[in-house]
Amino acid sequence: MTSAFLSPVVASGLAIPLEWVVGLGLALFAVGLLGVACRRNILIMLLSVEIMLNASNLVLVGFSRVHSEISGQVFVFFSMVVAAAEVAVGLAIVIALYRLRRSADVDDAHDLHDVDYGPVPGLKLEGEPHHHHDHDEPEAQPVGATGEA
Amino acid sequence: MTVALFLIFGATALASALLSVTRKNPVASAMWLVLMFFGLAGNYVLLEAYFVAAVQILVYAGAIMVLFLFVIMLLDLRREQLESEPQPRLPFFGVAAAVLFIAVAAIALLDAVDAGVFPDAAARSTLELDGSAKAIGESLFGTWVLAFEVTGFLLLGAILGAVILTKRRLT
Repeated sequence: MTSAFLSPVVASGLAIPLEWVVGLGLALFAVGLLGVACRRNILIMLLSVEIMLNASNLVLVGFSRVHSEISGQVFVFFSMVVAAAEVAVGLAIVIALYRLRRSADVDDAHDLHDVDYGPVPGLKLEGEPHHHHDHDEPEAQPVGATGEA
Repeated sequence: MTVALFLIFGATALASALLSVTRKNPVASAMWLVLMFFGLAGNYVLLEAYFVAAVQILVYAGAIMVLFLFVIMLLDLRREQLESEPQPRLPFFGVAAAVLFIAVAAIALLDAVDAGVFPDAAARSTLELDGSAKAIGESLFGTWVLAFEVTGFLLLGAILGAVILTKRRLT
C-alpha cells in the first residue's frame, strides 16, 4: 500500500493521491472549525463556515475523480447553492443584529442565555392539568433585555 | 508535476485559510479567503473538474465574497471596535475541539489507507472522467433534475428570508 501511495502515476488527475486530497480537505475543515469555535466576530465566523463548506467540496471532487463519477461534481454544485443561500440569510441576520446591538460580536447577542428564567419546569405527562403558560399569551419581557432601550 | 502543483495550490489554500481565520480586520480576512478560493479552484482544475473550478471562481470569489465585503463595509465597524475583540469565553475548548478533530480524522484516514479503502493507483489509472459543462449538465438535468428544481425553491426561500430579515418594520 505504501509503495502505491508514493508511486508516480502518469495520468494527470489521478496522479494526485486521493489520501492527500482528503487530508487537505480535513485540514481545511479543522481550520474552519477553529475559526467558528475561537472567534467572536460574527462575520469571521460566517467566513469560517465557508471554509468548512469548501473543504467538503474538495473531498467530493477528489472522490468524483477517483471513481470517475460525475455525480460528485453535481453535488458540489448543489453545495454551492446551499452556501449561497446560507450566506444570504446569515448576512441578513448579521445586519439585523447590528441594527439592534451596534456590534458584530456574537457575545452581545445573549438574550436567550444570560437571562435567568428560573429552574427548568418538570416534565408534564399527558392527562395531567397543564401549566397555564399558553402560546397565545404575550411573552414576558426578560429582566436583562436591552433591546427596547 | 501535477502532484507538485497540487501541493503548491493546497499549501496556498491552507495557509490563506489560516491567515483568514486569524486576521482581526474582516476585510483582510475576506481577502485571504479569496486567495483560498483560487487555490482550491487550481486544485479542481488539477482534478479535472474544470466546470466546478470555473463556478468556484464565479460564485465564491465573485458573488459570495462581494456580498461579504458589501456587508462588512455597510456595517462600518470602528477600528477600536475591531482591535478590542474580546477573547472567547472558553478559548481552550475551541482549540481542543479543532485538535481533537484533526487527531480523530488523521486516525480515520490512516486506518482507511491501511484497510485499502482508497482505490489503488494502478487500478484507477485507466478511468476517464469528463468534467466539462456538457457532462455536468447532462447529469444535472437528467439524474438530478428533481434536486435541481428543489434548489430553485431553496434559493427563493433564501431571498425572501433575507429581505424579510433586513426589513425595518414588519407591517
